[in-house]
Order: sequence, then structure tokens, then C-alpha cells
Amino acid sequence: MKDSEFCRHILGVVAPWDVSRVACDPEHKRIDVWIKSQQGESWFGLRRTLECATCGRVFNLRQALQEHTWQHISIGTFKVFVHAELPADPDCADKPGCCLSQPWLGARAGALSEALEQQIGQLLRLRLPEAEIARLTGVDTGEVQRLRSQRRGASDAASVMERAGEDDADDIPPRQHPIWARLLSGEMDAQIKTLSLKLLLSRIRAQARPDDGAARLADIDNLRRYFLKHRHSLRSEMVRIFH
Amino acid sequence: MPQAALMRIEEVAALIRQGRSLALAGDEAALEGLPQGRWIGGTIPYFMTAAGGLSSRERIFVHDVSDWGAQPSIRYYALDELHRVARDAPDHGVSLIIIPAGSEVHSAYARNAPNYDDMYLKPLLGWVAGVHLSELGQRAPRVYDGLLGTSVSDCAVVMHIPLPATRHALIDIVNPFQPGAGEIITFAATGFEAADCLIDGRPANLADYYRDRALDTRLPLVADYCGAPINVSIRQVHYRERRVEFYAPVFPGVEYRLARPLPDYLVDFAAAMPPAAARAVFSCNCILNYLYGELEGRQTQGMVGPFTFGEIAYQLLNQTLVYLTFDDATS
Repeated sequence: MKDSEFCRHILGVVAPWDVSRVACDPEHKRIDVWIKSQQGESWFGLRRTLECATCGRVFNLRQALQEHTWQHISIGTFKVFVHAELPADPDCADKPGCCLSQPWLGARAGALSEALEQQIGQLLRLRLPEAEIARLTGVDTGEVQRLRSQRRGASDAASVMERAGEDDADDIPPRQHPIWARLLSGEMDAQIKTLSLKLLLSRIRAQARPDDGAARLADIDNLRRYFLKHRHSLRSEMVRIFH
Repeated sequence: MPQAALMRIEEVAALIRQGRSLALAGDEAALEGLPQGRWIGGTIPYFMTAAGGLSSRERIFVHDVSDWGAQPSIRYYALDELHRVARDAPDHGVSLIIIPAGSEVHSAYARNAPNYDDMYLKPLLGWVAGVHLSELGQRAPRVYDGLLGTSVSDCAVVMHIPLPATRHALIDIVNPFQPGAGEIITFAATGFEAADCLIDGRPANLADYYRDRALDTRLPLVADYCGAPINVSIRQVHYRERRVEFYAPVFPGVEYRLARPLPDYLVDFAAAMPPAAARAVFSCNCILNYLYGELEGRQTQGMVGPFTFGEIAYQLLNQTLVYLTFDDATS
């Protein structure tokens, strides 16, 4: 098996992406992987705009592509660095299923891949010391500290958002509650009155991928976020759905 | 002064000079003469008025939004910025959008708006600017940023209006069309036109389907969005080329049926109109309803506003009346 094929499998690289080059530096225990779109420059470079095949977002391609490098989850004792060229304004990368949402990609200004950030997040939840997390993941302690403060900020913001309603979120079930799956599947006749909820729920159902657990959780979060924001005008729906 | 009315150009100019915040609809010649100020506009010369449907190149339809909430912000959205429109909207407010018909932003919004960040979370409504029907293909519809004093045909213009905490914006539609009892039509891809489709699950050609059954192309395809009938209007059936063009895209995963015929649009419109619509502070209706429903000189249950080349209640709609009401909490 070639290095590029090995890396494609181990990193989970799928179309439209492919591994174009791999460099291994045993002395410094480092592997560099370059990932490009299969269509090469034509996928991003020739047309004025790109419409993401998955989420339909249109990108401006008149700007130059930028190469980014992210540290990814280590393979054994070797640190892994992923290099990829991306359009400058990839705002749909946070959408589940978007071709720009890949575990080996990271934030444009970030140093770590999404998967590595998630791994560190799990270790932070276990309340391990920052230095220990840095040792386990091969990441600088400074990056771990940055992620810890970022998570604290996000948690505070979420708390503020959830408290912003007239009362607390006790009237809206947590994301794990089976009511969300019933609502998404259409198994429950919610007799919805509000247009925006009808449209949101229809869009989610039309695009549902039942075999993709992460996408399903994102759909539930999206729907739950809607209820948190609009609870004041959804009293009748909430009574029917949640009680 | 009513908050929504058809006015003469000099009356509108006076409102602008008074510092009122306005959303305007009118012919290009009428809008071009207005002074700079806090207004947005789009070209269209067809209106629902208290006196009935009419066409005018000299008058402008005014929605005065000054008292809705705080001072609005106005900006254009180019093609590569359009996906931010809901995200940029105030966390608690309402946003009015006008998009020029036939532009790239029109196409992109129609196809992609359901997937934009914060779509459906923040109230967003508006319409698609057009031209007099005698000028189709000769003039480009335009939208206006009154603060800049400019107009464009390749961007959307949006007025973001923050609302008081006690006021909630509610967007709804009046659509007298309901899915008929015919076959279920589904499509494999998003698009403004289609050839191949599934009809009751069997592969078929949509143009052939229209030809073989001599179907009325004035009737939209209707999908049931959790109880909301959502139309896709037929722009043209190309029988020889065996393809059908639409005024809004069809989407995969959505089941469509040809609408039930309406013997009299206004009768069915009145039956479909909920009581809350009487409190509408903003509304717009489709130019196809004006044409097919023969609404010239006929009143639409007190609803007033422009007849447009597309209506926006979060996403692009066809042959539908869109309206906005406020729910004002007492505390």
C-alpha cells in the first residue's frame, strides 16, 4: 500500500478530497499530509463561484486560495500535520455533511484539526491537567490553555443564551430526549401553527440522513435552539409536543 | 398617515426628508427621483391597494417601518455575502429583503436560503423586484439603498430592524392553493427546471406529463411543508425540449402535487385568510395571482402592498401572499 493510500484510509479522506503527497520525517517523528480536491485547481480555481455540492453554499472564488496547516491526531509517536488549500470564505464548514466540514480540517486561523480539538475537549471534560493533555496529544500546552478558555467562554455564552428566555429551559427537553427523534421522523403529528417551524422542520426532514448520527444530533440541536429562541410564541406547540 | 399605502412621489420624498424609515416599491422612474434617506426599495409597478389591484408608474407603495422598533440598518448583499443575511439580522428583530428578479442573487437565494445560518430563527421576509410586464427582458429589475442613494441589479438589499423586547415579529402566508388529488411528483436535484422526475415513484418526464394530461400551467406544484402549502409556479413547459422551467426551485426529498384548480381566486383567498392577517403591518402578493386571479380593480381582503416577482417568507415562495404581524406582549 502506498503512503498516500495508507493516509487516505487512516485519516478518512473521501471525495471530493484526496491525499496528494505524504512526507515522513523519522528524525523529528513527524508526518506531513497534503490533501487536495480530486478535481485539482478546477474545483476551486477556474469558476467565479463554487456551489458546495452538499449544502449549496456559494463561495466567491475570485480570491486566492490559501494553504492552511493543522496538527491532527498523532499516529503512534508521530505527530501528523495536514496541509490543504481552501477558499477564503468557507462559512458553511460548520454544516454537517459540507465538503468543507472534515475532521482533519480546522478553523482557518486555528492550529489544530477539528478531530484533535474534539479529542482535547474530551480530555478537558475529564479535568486532566493541561500539561498532561499536552503530553498525551502532542500539542503545545499553550494550545490546550487556549482551548480551555475558549470552551469556558462558549459555555458561558450558551448559558446566557439559554437563560435569555422568560424562564429557564425546564420546559424544553434535553437533546437526548426521544421526543426529538419522534418530531424529526414525522412520527408525531405536532399540528404546528408557526410558519418558520413548519419550514425548518420540513427542511430538516427533507435533508435527513438517518444513518449519520452526528448529522442527526446537529438537526436536534438546531431544532432545540429554535424552541429555545421562540418559546414565547410556541406555547401551544410546546404543550402538544412536550406534554 | 397610514403605515402602508400607495403615495405620490412628492409625498414619499417628504417622508424621507422627515427622517422616516421606509420600505418602498415602485417603478424605476419613480424611485430614481427620491432623495437620499433611510429607505430601501425595489422596482415593481403593480400594487394591491384599498381600492383594488392596479398598475402605476407614477406612484410608490410605502411601508413606513419607523415605529416598528429601533433605527434600522441597511446594506446590500452581493452573491458571496448573501448567506450571511440571517446571521447578520438582529438577534431580536425583523429583516426586510428585496432581491432583483433574474439575477444571480435571486437564483442563489432561491436555491440555498433554507440552508443559510440562522435561517428560520430570525424573522426574514420580503419580495423579488420586477419590471412592467411590457418591459420583460428589456430592463433589469433594481433594488435601492436610500442611505447610499444608489441602485443595483446584482445584489439584494436588506433592512435589518431591531425590535423592542416585548414585540415579536410573526411571518405567515396566505396561499389558497392546496395540493390536488393527483400523482406525487419528486425530483432528484434542486433546480429551476426539471426534465426527469418520479411520478408516483415511476421514472417520467415532467414535460410529457403536462402534455399527456393537458395540465393547466397556471396552477403551481404544491408541497406540504408540515401543514404549510408551498408553491412552485410553472414558468414555461418546453414540450419539444421535454423540460419544464419554474419560478422557484424544486427540492429533492420534497413531494409535490399539482394544485387543485381555484374557480375564483378571491373566494378561495378569503377562505384561506386567517383572522390575524387583518393586523398585517407588511404584505406582498404574487404578480401571477394578479394576472391569473384577475385582481386588477379587485380588493384582496384589505391586504395592501406590491404585487411581486416572488415572495419571501424566509425562503422564496411563488403565488403566495406573505404578511407580517406583531405580537406585542403587555409586560
